[in-house]
Amino acid sequence: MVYGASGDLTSRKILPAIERLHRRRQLPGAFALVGTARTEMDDDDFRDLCSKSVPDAAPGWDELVKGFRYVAGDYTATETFDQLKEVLAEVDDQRGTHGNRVHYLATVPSLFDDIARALGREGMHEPRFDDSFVRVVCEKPYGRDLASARDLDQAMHSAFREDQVYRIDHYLGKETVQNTLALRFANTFFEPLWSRQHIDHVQVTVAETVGVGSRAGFYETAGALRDIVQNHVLQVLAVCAMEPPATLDPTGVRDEKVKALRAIRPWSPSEVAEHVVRAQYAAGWSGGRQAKGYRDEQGVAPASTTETFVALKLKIDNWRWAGVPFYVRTGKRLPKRVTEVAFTFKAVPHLPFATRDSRGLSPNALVLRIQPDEGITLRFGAKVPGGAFEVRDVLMDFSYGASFLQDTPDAYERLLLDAMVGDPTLFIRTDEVEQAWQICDPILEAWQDPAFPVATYESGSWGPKEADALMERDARRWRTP
Amino acid sequence: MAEVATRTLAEWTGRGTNVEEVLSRLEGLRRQGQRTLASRTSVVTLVVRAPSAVDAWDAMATVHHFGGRHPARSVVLVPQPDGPARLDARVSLTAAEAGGHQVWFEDVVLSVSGPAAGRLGSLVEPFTLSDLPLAVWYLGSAPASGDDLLDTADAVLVDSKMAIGEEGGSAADDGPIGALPERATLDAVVDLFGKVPVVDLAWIRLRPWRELLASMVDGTAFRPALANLTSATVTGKASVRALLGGWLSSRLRLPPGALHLNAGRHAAVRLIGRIDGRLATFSTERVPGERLVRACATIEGGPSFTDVLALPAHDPSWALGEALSSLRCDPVYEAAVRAGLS
Repeated sequence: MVYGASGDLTSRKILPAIERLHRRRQLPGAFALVGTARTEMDDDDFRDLCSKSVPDAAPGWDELVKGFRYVAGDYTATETFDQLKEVLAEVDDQRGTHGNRVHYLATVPSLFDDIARALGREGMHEPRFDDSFVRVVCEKPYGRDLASARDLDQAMHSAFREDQVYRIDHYLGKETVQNTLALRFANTFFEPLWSRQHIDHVQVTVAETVGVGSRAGFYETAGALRDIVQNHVLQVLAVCAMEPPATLDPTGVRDEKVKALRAIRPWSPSEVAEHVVRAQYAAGWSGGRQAKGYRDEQGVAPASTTETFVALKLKIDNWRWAGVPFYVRTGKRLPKRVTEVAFTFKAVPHLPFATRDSRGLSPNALVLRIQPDEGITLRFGAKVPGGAFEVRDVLMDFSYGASFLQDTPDAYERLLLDAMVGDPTLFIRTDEVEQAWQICDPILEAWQDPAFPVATYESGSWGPKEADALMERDARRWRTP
Repeated sequence: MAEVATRTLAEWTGRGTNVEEVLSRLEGLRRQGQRTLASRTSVVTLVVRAPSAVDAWDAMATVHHFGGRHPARSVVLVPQPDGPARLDARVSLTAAEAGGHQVWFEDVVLSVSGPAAGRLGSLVEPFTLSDLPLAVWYLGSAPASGDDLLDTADAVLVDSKMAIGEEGGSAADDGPIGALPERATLDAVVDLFGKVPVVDLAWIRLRPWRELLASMVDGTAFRPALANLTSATVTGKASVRALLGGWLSSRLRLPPGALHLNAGRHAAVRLIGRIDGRLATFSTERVPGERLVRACATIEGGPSFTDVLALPAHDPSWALGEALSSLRCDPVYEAAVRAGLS
């Protein structure tokens, strides 16, 4: 079941992911998709949409699509759900899906509450048979602050048990993020270095080149902190900072992640100005094209204070990370699309080389490249060939594509499959959501003050000078990813 | 440098395209390459600003000669500010044999017309590789102040011998560089000092001469002459005269009027000094018809020697390769340029 089936997320992510699962023969034979949305369409229109959404589909996709169904209707109307129940019963009979349901909420977040309550009211939250399952998958953002996240949880839990709720953060479906677990816990030589003893600081960068585009309506109510930091950044950070789990089962990993999130010190609203920078992109050049400023975008209020860029410093108060700052920056209209986590190691205690011979040497760094070109880079010093003893940085590069012959599954592909087989390890538990909001809420509160500055940065640059100053105060600088 | 066998594995050409599509095609090609080839060099991202498509091809050919030392990615920009707004692109994946193993690298050629031709920095950044220095090579032009490519560059490469629109450099007119076309490049270079490291290919090509000259006076018997030089004569094209003359002026305490600059096809240097009243002569000059330099050091009534040095093959990729190996400020070069222009 896909709610919001006529929307962008369905055609851009969900349908292509289902097609790839089908191509890999990972979908169960008894599979069907039922779409619903307010858009008036019949089954054939929807099937046509499904075919067009995957223009390079493998043979067999059109055959699968023939079994897809569509119900148009309002999510608050009982008739919509009556019709859905009828269609689902037909699908069970025709395709053998045996009452197993994954309800995928791909609508705007404001509708999650209505849909969850309606599913409960209509009895669609319970398995139809003793041996069948019902799960609900929620897209981010999950709430817009701690209070609204708790309200949404209340609506979800009015119908579903926590173990039925799969809160998706597609970053967790990315191979490099999962590989962080392998890197740390399947090897002996990284983990001993993975602490305050050897790491000077960590930088997390999530950079986008695009502007707000046609999403101004949504973005004006969200901003970079809610859209990226509260979910993607804190999830990735939790995976990088957590303690070794006893097992990789859903409880083991998520318990450790939430412990790491709990150790992140929430800034009080009065500390926010010192540790957090918010900014909006101004006009400039990006990718060879002239770009307008955020406040000039269609649908953006001329005096908007919604941030398109955030830079912040986080501290993790535990034995492993005390004294190691985690710097985060994310923004739109930055020079390149890149997501990475860079661990910068402490400088060696003494360099036995002449200054002129070690000018090309930086501290060691381990960079987890999450996108694009997923992989890991290790930067270390090496001697330049020749009679002198000049040393400079070299890179050792691990690339997923080069090391494994099979295709890397797309994040949605992986997560959809996990939701179908019932593995919630890579989904976010309710306590993780709450903890992430505990970190973000004081920042949002401080930003309520109209006097809190909104810096600007030229489109196509790496952010405002205030973000540079945040690093310079600690005698550090941002990387150029 | 030995000939390096390269072959294009895959390529894509797009007319009227955009950066996002070029990046996506590049990613596709890279995936293809990762399937077939074992390793990738990661040295530098090289950006070439070329005046024409023909120059762009020449630049790629030069770069390909690196073989195993090739930058991981080269981006060649051909700006045409006067045309209508448009981006044409060619991306290709090339393999080279180097030292018995195969490496691969990516080439991107972007022809940019319209206003974006004046904002090349915004085009280049999406193509840079993380953690690698970005070198911008101004081919056949001088870096203009305000060029946003300079904001992205970790180092700038120029060739002060190549006067704008005059291949090979100016040979006519004795004396200092004056208002010759090469001056524009060196003036632009001086503006960059202190802001970004500048590597001049002409300076690198003169390295054998400089090393030879330095080795001639490197000895107890000969070194005292440096303190008593009476004359220094540099022959060559304008930028050679400026660079070698400037180098000698800035490194040696030459008396006023002692430096003489003569026009000539090949570089030559002659230093005259005195040691305990005896004449000391040091000279370097090309052996006619050969890629050899003969150096002679003579002290009147005292020791003398001759040395012969083989110049590197006339291969533009040699100087470029050397330049990319040392992307840092060179105070000796900076002093030489300042003195050469004064």
